[in-house]
Amino acid sequence: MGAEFIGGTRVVAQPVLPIIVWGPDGSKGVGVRAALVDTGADYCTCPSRLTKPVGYRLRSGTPVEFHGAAATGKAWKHSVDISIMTHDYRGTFHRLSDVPFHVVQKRNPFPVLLGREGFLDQFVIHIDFENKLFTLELP
Amino acid sequence: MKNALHKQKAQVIRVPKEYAGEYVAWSSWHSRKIVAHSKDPSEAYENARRSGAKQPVLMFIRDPNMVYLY
Repeated sequence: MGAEFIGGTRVVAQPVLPIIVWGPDGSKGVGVRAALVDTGADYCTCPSRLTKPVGYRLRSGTPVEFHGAAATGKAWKHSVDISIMTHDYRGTFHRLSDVPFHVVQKRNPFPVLLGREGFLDQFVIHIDFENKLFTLELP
Repeated sequence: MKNALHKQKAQVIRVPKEYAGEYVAWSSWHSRKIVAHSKDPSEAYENARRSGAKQPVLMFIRDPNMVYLY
């Protein structure tokens, strides 16, 4: 699906979710307004500088080789609790525990990517780009 | 986008063009005012906390001309 223009602004529909990434002790969380649903990714991935303020120490995770579609490198695997917000942001739609997250030490910022293992494989997902409809359902 | 039983009108988030390639921070989910921005999400988070936000909300702005629908 190509980009559309509304009032001179390029509009691209992307499947994203508002989430909270909880720290290891569950007391602090960082809200992420638009975590990108990446059906081609094996794992959830995020920059280390995003998880640092809520208490994750990068190298306390398990070192893994990170193989992305366009890049490879070193990452550290952490178990992360995630809350998916409802769309009015007034509550939690669902909370997932111990989601394997590849935390990447990379200079260039990039969005939080929600991949298959431990996250997308917990849901039934439909993406209808034609009608700009992304459906996430609990099985 | 909808999830399970929830349906919602598409959300439109507009940010100044100079924030391209940066993380921006709001003080809460319902706030419209950007309180911090940085290429370093840690710095954006901490600056938002210093401005009084208890649980800052971040978003990476890949292209400010792009409007995300969800």
